[in-house]
Amino acid sequence: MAASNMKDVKRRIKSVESTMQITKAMQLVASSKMRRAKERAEAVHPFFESVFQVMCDVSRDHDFTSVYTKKKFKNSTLMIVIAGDRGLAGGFNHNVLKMAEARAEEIIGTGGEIRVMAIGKKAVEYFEKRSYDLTDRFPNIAEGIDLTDVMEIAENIIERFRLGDFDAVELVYTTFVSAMTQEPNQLRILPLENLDYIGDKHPSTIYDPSPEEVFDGMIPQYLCGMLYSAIVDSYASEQAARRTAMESASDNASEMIDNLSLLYNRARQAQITQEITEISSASINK
Amino acid sequence: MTPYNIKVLTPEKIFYEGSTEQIIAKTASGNVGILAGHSPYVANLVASELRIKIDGSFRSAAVSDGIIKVSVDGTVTILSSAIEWSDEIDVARAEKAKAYAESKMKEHASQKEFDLAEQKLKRALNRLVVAQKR
Repeated sequence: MAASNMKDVKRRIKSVESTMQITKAMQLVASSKMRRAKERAEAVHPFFESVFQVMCDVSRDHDFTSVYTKKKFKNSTLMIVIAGDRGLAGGFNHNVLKMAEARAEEIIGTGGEIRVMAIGKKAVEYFEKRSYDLTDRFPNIAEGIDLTDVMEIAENIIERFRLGDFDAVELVYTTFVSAMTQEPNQLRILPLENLDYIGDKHPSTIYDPSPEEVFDGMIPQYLCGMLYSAIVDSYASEQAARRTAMESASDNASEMIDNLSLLYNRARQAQITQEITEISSASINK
Repeated sequence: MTPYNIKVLTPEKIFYEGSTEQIIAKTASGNVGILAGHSPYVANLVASELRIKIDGSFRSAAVSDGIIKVSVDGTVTILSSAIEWSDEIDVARAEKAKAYAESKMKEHASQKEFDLAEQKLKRALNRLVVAQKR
């Protein structure tokens, strides 16, 4: 191998090394963000469980009707899709967006109407390019998530649900199973069904002013808790996915560096051997 | 007064967990005071001041809409998406939210937007009022 070729190999090693520095850094950043996001995701549980418990209590203690438990009649659905704000997270965005699109097609296939609320820049970009009715866009809210923002989104949804803009709300997001696995998930959040009837009745419980009003008044808390936990869950998954992706990128880079170094050393040795041969043959011929 | 257990939860954290002697909260139908041994009770809270008596003196907190529940075993749970002790309220932020909501209401937008802005204004005003009681 000629000297110029050796220079090329040296340059490639340098460039792979600097890429590896970046992926290593991203991996570390993602793993520390993941840890914090996981803590936040876990902190929602007591709140959400209590809200859900009260809703179950109400529906167990009394027969009542609420607009939030009515079966749908118009077959018009609001689909809330939560994806990431950035790429370079392996299949994270792709998986959840594919699931959302498949679900949307399924609803349209059965003659339903669909509206999309996109949370996260990648979700916004994805649905803007396609022919769905994208009614709400919330890019860049997951990282520094603020409860008042989530409450506003929840109130907005409730207002439109009451006005009959849509009669079902579904959520597509990614749930954090473990640091290695994150799964896209879909669930229906409105109308409410399958409220648990387990437990004893407590007919003596006072609902002020009435069970119906208490139930309806709890819906904003329910929706807010649900959305908040889904956004935080999805954010933790994004960081976990990015960490894994960057870890394997770093591994690949270090493997590439090993191969290139071997190539470089062989070339260097070959060059030295050649030089020695040239010198010795020159001295013999003297 | 007999103390009893109370838990105040938000989606972000457990805001307060401990014992109290009395709670004064505002529900849709007016102020309620809860002492130990209250019968099971569930009500919605409106944006208001929540007062919790701890060791003989009341502490104030600004609560946005929420739920108050007295369980069968006598413990009280308060659930709210936003709650702050009066001495932790960010007045500048509340002022900003108030100004924003007012300008939104003057825009003569749709009824839906007006309602949302009105709720926002209510919450901001409540936080300002409670903040003055520190």
